[in-house]
Amino acid sequence: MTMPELEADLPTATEAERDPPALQVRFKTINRQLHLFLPPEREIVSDTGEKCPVLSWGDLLAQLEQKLAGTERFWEAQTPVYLQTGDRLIDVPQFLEINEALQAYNLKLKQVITYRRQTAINAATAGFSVEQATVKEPLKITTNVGVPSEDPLYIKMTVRAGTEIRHGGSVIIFGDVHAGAEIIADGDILVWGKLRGLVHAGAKGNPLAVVMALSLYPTQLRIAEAIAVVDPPKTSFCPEIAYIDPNSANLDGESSISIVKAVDYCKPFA
Amino acid sequence: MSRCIVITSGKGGVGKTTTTANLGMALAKLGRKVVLVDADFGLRNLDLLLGLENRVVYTALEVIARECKLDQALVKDKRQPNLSLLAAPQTRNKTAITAAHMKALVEVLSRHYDYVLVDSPAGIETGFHNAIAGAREAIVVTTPEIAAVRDADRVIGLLEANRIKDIKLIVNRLRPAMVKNNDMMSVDDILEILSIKLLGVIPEDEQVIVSTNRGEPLVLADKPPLAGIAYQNTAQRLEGAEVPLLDLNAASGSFFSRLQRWLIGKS
Repeated sequence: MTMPELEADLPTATEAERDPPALQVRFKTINRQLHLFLPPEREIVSDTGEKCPVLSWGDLLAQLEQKLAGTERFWEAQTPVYLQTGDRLIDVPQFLEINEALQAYNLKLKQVITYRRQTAINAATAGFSVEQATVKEPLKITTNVGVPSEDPLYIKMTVRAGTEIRHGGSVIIFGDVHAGAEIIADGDILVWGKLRGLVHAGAKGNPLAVVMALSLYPTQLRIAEAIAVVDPPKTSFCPEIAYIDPNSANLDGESSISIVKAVDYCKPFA
Repeated sequence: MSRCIVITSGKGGVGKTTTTANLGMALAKLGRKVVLVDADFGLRNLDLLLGLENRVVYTALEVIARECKLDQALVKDKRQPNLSLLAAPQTRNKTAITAAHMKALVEVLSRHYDYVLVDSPAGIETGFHNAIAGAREAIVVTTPEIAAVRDADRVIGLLEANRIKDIKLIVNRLRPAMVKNNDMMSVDDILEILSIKLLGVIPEDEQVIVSTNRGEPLVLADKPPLAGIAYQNTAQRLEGAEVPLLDLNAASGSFFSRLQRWLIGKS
């Protein structure tokens, strides 16, 4: 197989196709195209000095599989996928593994978009169309306090122990969240099911974020800076909402989390 | 179409190997051709439970290394000729084989047997990933303890992430008397947490220890103890038969407590 010319005359990715790095595998529709973003390989240090761990390849594949299983119904058969690998080094077998995972859910790997020459060569060797973009600015997590930056993530699955879902916007889960699972969202968290795991809404400090569930009994509940341990619900079925009541602030300015029945929630935006 | 089933749990000591041995034997008694694969490399036990230790000449490792033929490594049970065992190597550790090897092995075995049951090691590391590599179905074993159930939940998530969607649950070592006194999680509690299909409930039974030490699976006995009957029923359910769960309360307790319950039931 001849190697295609990779560096000459390739269009650079437009700004819209580039995206701030996320720590999880994620799908995003950009200009009516389905893009699959792989998290960066390097350890990232956010503005606050917090180190974000990096996924192993096995974890990455498992996460991809979870995302595919949780969202497959939204895509039509043979939807083309644009794989955004960022600066990750991906070898030929790894490309084939990704392709196999996508094929199992009837998706088609259409193009690989990478910043890295070796990855581009590997993708071409594996037989995929390649676009090599130019290297971006150093990777940094933007911390716009209080503004959920990404589209909501809709997941249709049972989130089991050991599964971690991180998202830069709101998270909607149609299914149960079991004890031992973690949902960390910059926006709101809605669980259409039983919530038993750990949740953190407004993870970047948005105190207006809320957590709601058909049965709200998380192991631990966090909103922005506040942490609560929740009592078991008194009735068997009672959808509830957890939020930070701005009036609850004590003298130090620390506010606590309140939980009310969904029907009694006074909507501050109404 | 043969069925390739991995028996796994996450937590150790909940009865994976006991379940594999008894379920395999029960299926063989039902007339199915069954092969048991010990995937617990370095810590093999399945041959002990089946009483086949002294007949193991070659293990899965020699088969993979092409030092022997697959036929040579398969140990046929003399008591139940429908049952064969592929032992794990004792001297190597879990890194001795890869998932691809395991997948190929299970694939070949599935052409000759109705059931390929793979006994997975505890944990969720390489050994577990190797064990599940060739499987299309899974049986998750748990005991009514919070740690075992949590690990089972984690394992179910990992199985799903590896595209094994047909997952069934066996609750092992249930003590009906403790459940009755609210000192132990009930089967319903466990199902509420795990939300998967129940395949069987095995009561705690001292005879399990006796049979393990003797190398004779419970289900081989002419009159199997309660746990043995529970395994037989579980095997029938795996075959698709509708067998109701054993009434464990009726069978537990002393003669007098049973008589008492019977009288109460009458009045």
